[in-house]
Amino acid sequence: MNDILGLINLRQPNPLLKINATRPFAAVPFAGKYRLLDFTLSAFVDAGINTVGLLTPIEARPLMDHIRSGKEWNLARKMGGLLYLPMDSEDVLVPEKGDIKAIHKNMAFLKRSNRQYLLFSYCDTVHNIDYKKVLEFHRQHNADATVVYTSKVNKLTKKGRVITVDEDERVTGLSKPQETAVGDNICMSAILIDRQIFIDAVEFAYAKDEKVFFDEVIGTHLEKLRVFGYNYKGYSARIDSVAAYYKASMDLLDMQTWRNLFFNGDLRIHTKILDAAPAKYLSGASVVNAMVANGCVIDGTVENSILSRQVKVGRNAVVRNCIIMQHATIGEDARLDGVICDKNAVIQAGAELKGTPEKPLCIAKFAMHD
Amino acid sequence: MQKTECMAMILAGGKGSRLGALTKSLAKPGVLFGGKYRLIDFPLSNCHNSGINTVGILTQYQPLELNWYIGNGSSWEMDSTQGGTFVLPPYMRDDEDANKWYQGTADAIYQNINFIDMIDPEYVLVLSGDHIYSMDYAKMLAFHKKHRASVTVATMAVPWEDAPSFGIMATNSNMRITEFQEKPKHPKSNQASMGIYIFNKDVLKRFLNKDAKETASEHDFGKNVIPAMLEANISLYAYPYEGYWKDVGTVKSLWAANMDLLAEEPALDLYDKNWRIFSGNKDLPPHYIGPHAVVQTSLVAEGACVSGRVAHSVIFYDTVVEEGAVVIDSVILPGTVIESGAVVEHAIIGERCQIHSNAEIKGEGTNIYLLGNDKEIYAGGNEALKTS
Repeated sequence: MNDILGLINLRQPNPLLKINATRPFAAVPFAGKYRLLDFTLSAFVDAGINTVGLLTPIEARPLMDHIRSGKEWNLARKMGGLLYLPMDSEDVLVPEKGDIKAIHKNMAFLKRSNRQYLLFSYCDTVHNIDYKKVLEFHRQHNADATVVYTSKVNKLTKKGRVITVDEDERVTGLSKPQETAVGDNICMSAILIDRQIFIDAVEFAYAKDEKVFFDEVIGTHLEKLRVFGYNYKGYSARIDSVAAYYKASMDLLDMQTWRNLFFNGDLRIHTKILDAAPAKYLSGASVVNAMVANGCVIDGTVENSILSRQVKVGRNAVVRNCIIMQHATIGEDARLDGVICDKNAVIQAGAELKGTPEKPLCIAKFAMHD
Repeated sequence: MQKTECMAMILAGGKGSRLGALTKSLAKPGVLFGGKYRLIDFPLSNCHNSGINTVGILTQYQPLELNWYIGNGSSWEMDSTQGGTFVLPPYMRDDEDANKWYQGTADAIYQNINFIDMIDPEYVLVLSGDHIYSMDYAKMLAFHKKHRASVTVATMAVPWEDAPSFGIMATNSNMRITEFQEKPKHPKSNQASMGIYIFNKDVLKRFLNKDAKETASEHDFGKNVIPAMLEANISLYAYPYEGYWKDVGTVKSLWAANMDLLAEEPALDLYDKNWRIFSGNKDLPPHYIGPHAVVQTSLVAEGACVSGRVAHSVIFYDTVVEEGAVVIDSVILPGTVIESGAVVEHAIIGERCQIHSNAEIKGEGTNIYLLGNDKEIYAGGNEALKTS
């Protein structure tokens, strides 16, 4: 497995700006204690990848604060490990469409590696994929590239690259992002590819002023390249809107889904360690259908909700259908329904806040509400 | 490397024989506590939070699991070039007469004087690896320096009626220790030694060397070394500690210490952001509470899956309480499954146990039911060792 070099592109438009306008997409909290990036990064390292480059976005601080040295992902290494690939002044001043230029600027990272393969991914999909199996598939098919896709598309998914494969699992079509229908095979924005082919293809595409890797390098070269499609059948959730984020979160309140995502064989999702004490349920606690992280102290009613680390729910407060992020405080007698509450928000005693699954009410970081 | 002012030596070789099945193959400092901790997390976290980064850990009885847990000390931020955790088992030496297990607390330190010399600190803090408390050793060290003490012993007030079962320190008004009484019938004070000492290194070395030559000595700090120091008129001071402190020697006291955490405002604050108790990381998700669960006055750790009824209990990580199961006044250790219809009351259930459907486990009063690791209990009470 040390045959793979990892590259993750964290520079992508954030469809969750309503939750927080300045936090990069990859750093949005999800499932109580994680950030969206954790799922992609954990799958990389659990497959034995020990060198990962991160193309960081403009607002890199929340990401770097979360990942730091990469120690929790076993990426604080003498050799290899984690490499931040930040934007330069040109990237900031003259924003470029697509990813080819960004990859090209970091060619040195790709070229100095001696690994045979490159695993390149975005982190817009929550999953727990076993990339060892993808590599096995890749080798079995003697592929130049293997694109990961899922058939489990729900009606909330807005746009995706629809993939078609023949009976030998070779990719015959890869669309540009388009409206999708339930039952479509959707590309999960992850590709395992021969590293040298990747380098050559990106250099060629860059010379031709092409912009988008999946569309212009892969999608238009399906006859030249042996591109195969790996059908990932485990848990996956595409996060491309606040409604999709909300639904994916609520889906985890099904025990089997919770198990599928977090206990897939030996695979675990790694994240920044906080050393918080176990959650405490006081005498007024009434909690059903919930996911609760360490450090919470609950003295009220919680239903169909996700509580991140160190959330406090005051006596007689009622939290229903909510996502409450780290260190938020829900005051006594407050009533929340359909609310996404960002970090450190304080909901005053007796406050009433209401949203809907389609349009959850988003409370900003450090906000005070009464 | 910068010079180390104060290093810690943690005594972690104890068996804790009154903890029965819990310490069958595990040294007492490794015993699980409070939903996610092991006892040794407390002294190690206290060391880190007090700015002590060089810690020797003296192991002897069943060290495997404890060594594995300590690792390179990174869980307590000890994996630095300015210190570290150093596991110190008994070892063979050139002098065959000296090749012995650690004979007592003082002998364990004596056998590792070369380690202390290697670090060469001014002060040596000696701790037990199995006490539950949050204590700022930096304050104790400041007290030690302020009084120009050679030795400082941390003490705490115990109820007068309990004093005869402790090592009691009588002091003058300036806190200088005037007399030490080991388990006295007529205690002169109610300040009991907590088994936490700060020594000036030279004084420690001198008296350990002396004690090692005493054939009649039990080589114990409380019984031998401290009395010898008092006799030699060394300046010993008592540092009065106020706060939660527990030495959980028995199943009942371990259970009670777990229950202490369930108070509305427990004396031991695990949620203090300025005094975190660190522990080994398990990479587990937030715990899951099912649609028909009832959980009250309890601690539940990450990775647990609770669908039944849990009242006044401590539920460790990686456990399952199925729908229809009932857990009351109990401690459920990691990896254990309580199946539907089972009832667990007033008990400590070991690691990786399976309590089958409709089985009942009940302790009563001072009699806490203790189930060892890897056991299966069936309805009707039949017990078996887990095979898989």
